[in-house]
Amino acid sequence: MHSHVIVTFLSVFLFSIGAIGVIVRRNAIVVFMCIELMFNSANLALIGFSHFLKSIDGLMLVLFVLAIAAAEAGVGLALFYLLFKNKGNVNLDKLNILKW
Amino acid sequence: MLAEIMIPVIIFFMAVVFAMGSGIMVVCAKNPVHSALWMVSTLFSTAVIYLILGFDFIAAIQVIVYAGAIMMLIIYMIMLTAIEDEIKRKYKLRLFQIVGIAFVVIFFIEAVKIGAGHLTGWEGLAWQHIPEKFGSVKYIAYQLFSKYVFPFEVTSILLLAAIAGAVVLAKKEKKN
Repeated sequence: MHSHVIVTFLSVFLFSIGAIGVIVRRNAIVVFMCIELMFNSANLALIGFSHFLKSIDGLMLVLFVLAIAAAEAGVGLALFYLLFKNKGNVNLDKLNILKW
Repeated sequence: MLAEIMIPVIIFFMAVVFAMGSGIMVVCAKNPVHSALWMVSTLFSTAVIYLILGFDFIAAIQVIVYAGAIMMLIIYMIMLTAIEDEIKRKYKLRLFQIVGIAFVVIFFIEAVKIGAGHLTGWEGLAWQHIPEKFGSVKYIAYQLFSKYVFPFEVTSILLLAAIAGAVVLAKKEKKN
């Protein structure tokens, strides 16, 4: 057993924790943070497998995931700002304007 | 000699334990600011793991982009929105949440069962077996501008679109 098994285990653990957070928490910003946690665990798995296979491809994918996470953070947080300005809260249970 | 081998192993396991504990605290902390700070701790622990695996450039990028830029944005957003009702809220699990958590736990157990087949005995950290240049800035830059040049350009366009989108979303509306 190398450290890869531990890294993969940590990745699975962080992903599960992030998914539970998305299910349980109702504040949109905390849910956003849990999604970032899941991104981070995917990055960790990519790094671990890239290291295990001695291939650089997973590492490059991590760079692009980081760039896309940054772009997503910018747009998503602008959206939350607008939501708070118009609705007065960022509670996901109360944001049901698409409900018919 | 033994200390040279053992110290990275100890740091590695400490980083793993810290990442797991802070990951749990991200979900369990009531105050969103506390959860953001635990998130920073998780990202730092992950950066330490990257360092021990030998990816120093990715570790630096992780700290700068994730723990620096994105978490700063998130903390800024928490300050802009009201969190008093979030702190006071009592969490009661509803049916869909219980079912969702059950499925996540099943996923976790199945994934660990797959990984447990490879648990044969400790052979040391794997970074002792890889070549020195792997993961260095020079090699990453060479790959980025040869094999991955098209995704690189697409990423730049995506970032431009994200900047434009954020500005358009957050600007003041005209009154007419």
